[in-house]
Amino acid sequence: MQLTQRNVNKRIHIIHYTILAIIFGLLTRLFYLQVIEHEELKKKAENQQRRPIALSKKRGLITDRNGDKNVLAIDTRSISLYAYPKEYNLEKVSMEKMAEKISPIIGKDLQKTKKTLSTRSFIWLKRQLPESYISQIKALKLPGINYVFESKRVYPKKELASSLLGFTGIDNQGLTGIEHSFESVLTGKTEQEKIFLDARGYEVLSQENKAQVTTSKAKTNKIRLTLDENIQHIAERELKKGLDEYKAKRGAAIIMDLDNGDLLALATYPNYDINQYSKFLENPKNWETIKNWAVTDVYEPGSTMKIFSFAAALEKKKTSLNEVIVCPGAIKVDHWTVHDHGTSPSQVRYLKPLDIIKTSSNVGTSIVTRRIPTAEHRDILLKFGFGKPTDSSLSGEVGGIVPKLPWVASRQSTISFGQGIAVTPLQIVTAMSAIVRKGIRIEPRIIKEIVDNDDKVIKQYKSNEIRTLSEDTAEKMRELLIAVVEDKEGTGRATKIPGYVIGGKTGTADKVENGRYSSNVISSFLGFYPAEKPRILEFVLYDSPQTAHFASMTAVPVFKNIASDIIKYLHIPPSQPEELLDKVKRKKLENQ
Amino acid sequence: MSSKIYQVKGSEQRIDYLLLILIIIMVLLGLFTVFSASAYVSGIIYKKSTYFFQKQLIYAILGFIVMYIGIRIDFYQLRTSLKAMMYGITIMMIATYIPALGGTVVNGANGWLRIPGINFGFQPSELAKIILIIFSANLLANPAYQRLGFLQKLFTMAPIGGVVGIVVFQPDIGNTSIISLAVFSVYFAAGMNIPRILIVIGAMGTAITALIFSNPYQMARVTGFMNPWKDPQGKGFQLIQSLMAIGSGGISGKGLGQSVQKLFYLPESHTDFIFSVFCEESGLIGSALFMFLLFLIAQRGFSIAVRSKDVFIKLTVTGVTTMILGQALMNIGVATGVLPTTGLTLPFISYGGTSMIVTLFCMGLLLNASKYTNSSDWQVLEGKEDNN
Repeated sequence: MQLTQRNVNKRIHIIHYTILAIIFGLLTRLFYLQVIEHEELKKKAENQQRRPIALSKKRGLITDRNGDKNVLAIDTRSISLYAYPKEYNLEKVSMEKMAEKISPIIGKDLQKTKKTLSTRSFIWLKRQLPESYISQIKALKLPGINYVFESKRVYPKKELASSLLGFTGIDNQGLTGIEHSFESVLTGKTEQEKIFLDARGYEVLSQENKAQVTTSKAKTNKIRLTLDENIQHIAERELKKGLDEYKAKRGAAIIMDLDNGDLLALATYPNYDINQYSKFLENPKNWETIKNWAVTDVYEPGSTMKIFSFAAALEKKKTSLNEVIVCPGAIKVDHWTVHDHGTSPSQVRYLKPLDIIKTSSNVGTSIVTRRIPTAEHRDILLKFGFGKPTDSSLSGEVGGIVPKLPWVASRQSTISFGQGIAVTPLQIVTAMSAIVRKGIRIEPRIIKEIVDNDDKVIKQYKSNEIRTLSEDTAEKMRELLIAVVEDKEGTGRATKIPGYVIGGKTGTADKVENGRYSSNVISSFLGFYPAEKPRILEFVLYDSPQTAHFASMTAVPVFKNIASDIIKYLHIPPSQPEELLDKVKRKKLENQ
Repeated sequence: MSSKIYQVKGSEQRIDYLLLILIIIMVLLGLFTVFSASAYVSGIIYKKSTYFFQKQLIYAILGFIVMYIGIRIDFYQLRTSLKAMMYGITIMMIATYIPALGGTVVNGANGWLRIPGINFGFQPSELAKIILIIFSANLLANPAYQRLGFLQKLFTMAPIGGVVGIVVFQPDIGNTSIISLAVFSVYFAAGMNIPRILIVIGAMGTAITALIFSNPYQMARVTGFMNPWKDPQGKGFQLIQSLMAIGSGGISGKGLGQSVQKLFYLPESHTDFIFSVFCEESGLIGSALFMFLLFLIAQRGFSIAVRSKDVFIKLTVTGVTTMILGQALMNIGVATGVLPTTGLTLPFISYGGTSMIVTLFCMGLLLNASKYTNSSDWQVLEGKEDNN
């Protein structure tokens, strides 16, 4: 071929067009990758660029019965500091210097901080610091040290209802109380937040201080308790006063709304600031305090049990309110002697049921109750709800002990006045509801409803109502319990609130400690008001009061203080207004 | 072979300004992309995010100086000093094997000369490309060449074979291919007949295949290319990372500076695989625009070749244009997974001094040649003896 301009140009054109064809071909390839395969490749790239770390769970609110106004537990944003050793190891930053800067922030000493930092992989330095630490952490400007936002549980009311609410662990998981038993309701899924990493595993955003990862909007539910924050507060305040005065080991108060079984207060004292629970638990002595012992611990109810013994006897028509029972000062039952306080063994008294209850006669109760066949007696106790947990669904609730049949006479006898049977304070309250609600027991309710984030009700809790006694028996018992309090000699006399009628029964039970009866007692008062048409059932209990033993001097005044505040708070109208008038008149007269 | 060099020369015109603008755009685009692709990595490794950018900026300035030389150089002088250039490049290529003379091994391959005193690595094989193009263009433009017999013609290729051979054994398959391609384009334009073309293509194919199979390093590259997803953490790693970068760019891209793959995921993200980062950030819009720029360079380059009156210039321009575009397309082919990894840089864009300087020198030659197109007053000049 001749090397002419023309021939060469022909060949150049061939090369030119070949190259243009290749350009077009590659353009097609690019189109394929960037448009058709785009989603697939993007997903693959993101999978390798993001690595999940487990963050604390997000939890829903716990509020009292009035909803979001009265929040008892809430998630707040906190920051958690972590170390990514790969990063600072590569940059050869002095461990000493890093530890010096970090240790004051995380509150660990220098050596411990250094040890933490010398780990090989991702490690949390400090979880759930207040958000205010952000600027301090940013100022560190240390490689491989960064933070994420996490949820932290905060209890705005501090110690209020502490044993009931419980607390959450560092991953915001419920550990005790409502937080524990309603874990699945409160929490969303565990967060698997994805951190943006470069290929070496370094977090990229930390370099640029852009938006941080944060616990996202996981779906959580709110729990509305039946609790009324104010009533709970009243109960805890008065419990504390009494506890300080009587030097008791601990005290509990339960307030039930008799209309629906709602627990308006479920208080134990001493309480503790839930926000500081880990510090509180550093002292092993306090471990007992965190539990909701009003449902987890049992005690021998003592005289309080006489209410249910007489209710059983009346129900089984083994006595009537007019019967006069011959009560010696002491009787022998299966070689055991039963005797009454303050009476000599030779003294014989003639007591009606009202007198028996009023004077808290063990002898009289034993005589009357033993008329009931043991199986029927036991059945009725079970009907009252003893021997099994209530429907409260509180964590750790126990059922107490109702001894199995057969019962020898002495067993039935002791059970009748509250020994050899174990109950929880909440069971006592539940059983009492049968008497003041015309024979229909209502199971306690602590959760009102579960609502989602948009306040849509997901689940409503309804209290079970169980016919336990005939209306007639219940009404008789109720009147009897009013009389017990109203009577001048009654042990519950000190509950008297002008304008109001209160019914109830004291209980002073010898406490079993290490398997034998000790000198300590459990003093309680179980009462209801307004007694004519009961709305509130209130139970106050002190464990091992020291300055006074008898319930009339411990639980009763506290009961009264709580009751008078609740009456004011709930605007319960007086049933005997003339008493109030008298008082006003009296005052006026005194002033003149 | 000995004969007089003939020159076809007309009066000088203005250089091709459209091409000049294209070159400037490409260099600026390259600078920007180098900065974007390297800032994160260099910020961590060199504590300075502009580390590579600053160096590349210096290379670009040096490149424009060399381009100016390319524009001003006299083609006639170029032809007459070829012998010295061939000896020079051969010595430099051999020196890459001798550490005492500055030979350095980078990424398992010889091919670098480290110039003592100044910290500047230099790849003679980059320079060899342009010298071999000029050498073959000069050879084939000589009217006496056409009269040679087949064996004699083969014999004249010996210097080319020698230099390419050194590149082959560095081993540098990428540059071997691109030099072969460029030289072949010169021979092709100079009228090589069809049977010989087929023989050359066959021989090149056989040689490259043999090279790949004889070297486990190259073999791994090819198997990684054939089925990257089979070994995503090993042989297929680089290609997969590249495909993920390009693919995740989508149509509009992640935004300039927003590549994620450059964050240590994609090895060589500022050199051999810079195109992937560019695609991730600018999307199909950017990559299509880039392909259009290559198209325009092809248009200008081959148009200059066609319009040149001197056969030597024609062949040189053809070879140079083919080389630059061929290398760019091979690089993009590798990044998009249609070619196995070769280790070729993307002209204008990839970080690297030698590549930038040689590319701009080539562009200088194109602009130089553009001065002698379209003139009607050309005449044939007879020069001195060609003793190459």
